[in-house]
Amino acid sequence: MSYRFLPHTADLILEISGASLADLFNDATSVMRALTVGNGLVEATESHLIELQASSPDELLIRFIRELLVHFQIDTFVPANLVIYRLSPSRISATVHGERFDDSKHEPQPEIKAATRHRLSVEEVEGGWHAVVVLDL
Amino acid sequence: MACGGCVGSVVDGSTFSLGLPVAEAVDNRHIRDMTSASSIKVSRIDAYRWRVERSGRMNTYGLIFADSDLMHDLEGDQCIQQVVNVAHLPGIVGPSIAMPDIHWGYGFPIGGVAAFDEHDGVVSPGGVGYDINCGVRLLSTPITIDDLRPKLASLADKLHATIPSGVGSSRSDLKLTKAELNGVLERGAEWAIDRGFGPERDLECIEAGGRLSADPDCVSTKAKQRGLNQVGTVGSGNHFVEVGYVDEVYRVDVANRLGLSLGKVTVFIHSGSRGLGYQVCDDYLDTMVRASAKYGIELPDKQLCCAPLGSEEAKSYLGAMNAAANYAFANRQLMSYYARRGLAAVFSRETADQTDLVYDVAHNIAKYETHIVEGKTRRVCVHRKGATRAFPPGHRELNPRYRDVGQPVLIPGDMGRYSFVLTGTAGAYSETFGSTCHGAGRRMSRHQAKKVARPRNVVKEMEQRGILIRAASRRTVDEEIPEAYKDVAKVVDVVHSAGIGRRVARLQPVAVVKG
Repeated sequence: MSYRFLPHTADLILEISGASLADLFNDATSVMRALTVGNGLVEATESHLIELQASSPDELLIRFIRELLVHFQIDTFVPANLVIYRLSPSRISATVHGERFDDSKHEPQPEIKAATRHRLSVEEVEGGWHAVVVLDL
Repeated sequence: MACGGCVGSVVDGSTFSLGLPVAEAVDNRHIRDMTSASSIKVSRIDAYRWRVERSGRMNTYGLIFADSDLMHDLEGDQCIQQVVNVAHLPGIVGPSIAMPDIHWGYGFPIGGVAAFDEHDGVVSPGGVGYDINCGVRLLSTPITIDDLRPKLASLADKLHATIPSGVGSSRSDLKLTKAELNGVLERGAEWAIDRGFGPERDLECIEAGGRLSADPDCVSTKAKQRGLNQVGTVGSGNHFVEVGYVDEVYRVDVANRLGLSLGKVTVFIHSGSRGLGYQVCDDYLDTMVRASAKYGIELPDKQLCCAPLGSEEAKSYLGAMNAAANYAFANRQLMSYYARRGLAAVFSRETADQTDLVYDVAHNIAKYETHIVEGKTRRVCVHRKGATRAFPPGHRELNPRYRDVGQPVLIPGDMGRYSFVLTGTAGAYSETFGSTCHGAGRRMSRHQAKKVARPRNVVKEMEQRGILIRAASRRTVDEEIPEAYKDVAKVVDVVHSAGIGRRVARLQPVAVVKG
């Protein structure tokens, strides 16, 4: 897993590097888990199918993050891990496993409103993939 | 008079133009150095105004309101670049404006104001933000700080219990049906008043009467789903419900008109359109990415994607954005209802009945307004992203209740210091499309703030300073430590001295409910 946050005054800049596009989406899932419940354990008791298409890998990544945010906001669903069936720079088919937010073991974190297109980039680089996404808090 | 604007005639009758000679200032070089792009030239106009020179494909110049200290605070921040980016958008009228609480956002800077011509201009969801009609409202109670002290903890607990806060917070006692949600989207605060969530007189004290012309059909099913059980909730981040009192009055006559005499207890509410608004923004950013390509609009930042104001895409967005804005007005109306219920439980029914709404104002919105630009009356779409409308005395859009004093402007500070109440001015109307600042503005990243706060017990520290904190998350409190923000008094000094807002009173916090 390889991600880090870069300094931003009000929001959060997320940088992810992965050996493959699948690594990138797996890391994005881990980041969203950490950003919704901190270090608390998240079990895989519930799952959601995610099928998305987009014109480019950067659009695909923000749609994917958005989907996770919506599941959290509507059902308090926290992602634990991702099982990918099909993935290309313009399409993902996967199941996200996780559970609903549980006060007894999860620490609430500040709300993430959205994944923005400001400075958004998802690129294939030497040795893998690299992404930068600004999250609106 | 040195004046950076080109929006209209200046209050004292002198005129100005785009070609106004700019005073050379000693700080020029420093400002150039601290912006990331070396080509950005910033010159000082006077003690409170800075001009970002037009270059490249910019359609206008930038105008930043700040004193030297606030400009220094922008070091390492991308917000001046964002002022430049906004100046690239088609049909921009007057300068790309930034308020003294400016900080780095996405798309527009936070604290940005820009107006676009109704025929040649655009509307951009990135100029409004995800939290559509995020805004503030202030209630004045009949009790004094001395009445409150013995019951402060009870009131803080009651407010925390009756107004849900935190991420994805929802109301178990108020889940709307789809038909009711459409009522909220169409009628805003009016819907809430009709349902008994406050007295009719509240509507006189809300921007646009708490209702904008909306089209709920332009709001997606997913957005509506996100909005069903969040009306009447605070949310997270910098949103809050804050109990305070008036500790300084600068204009007694106006303060009295606003119900803000010295020692009077107030309730400050900061929230917006919650998940519904975020989804509307996301939905229409997708639309606008396509529209920008379709209409051949070149963008310096994809988050500034937009559509011409007359286009179907723009009409749909404005219909949906206004619906989300109405949701936010209703949300704050419901939060006021629960705040009044808290006051009734801890004090008396009479206390709640005599609690008046001072004002409710949006700070993330795009609205059609009429302004005088270079001597001509023009209808423009004013985008305010982290900026407050500040209409002057006599403006016809103001309710008769406040028309003679000007629009009340509410400027919350950080949770440990103070907040301010101002009124709108003719200066704001002529120079900034009737806009002023919206808050303190962050100076420390959330990560930095957390690091600074980690070894400390911020809740206890605040209690020692006489401020009770009730919060859903420790991390939120840590990220919101007072020193993470600029001193709002400095921000207010700039807008007051520059003539784009006029101080009325200062409020001191004593209890804060946060997400």
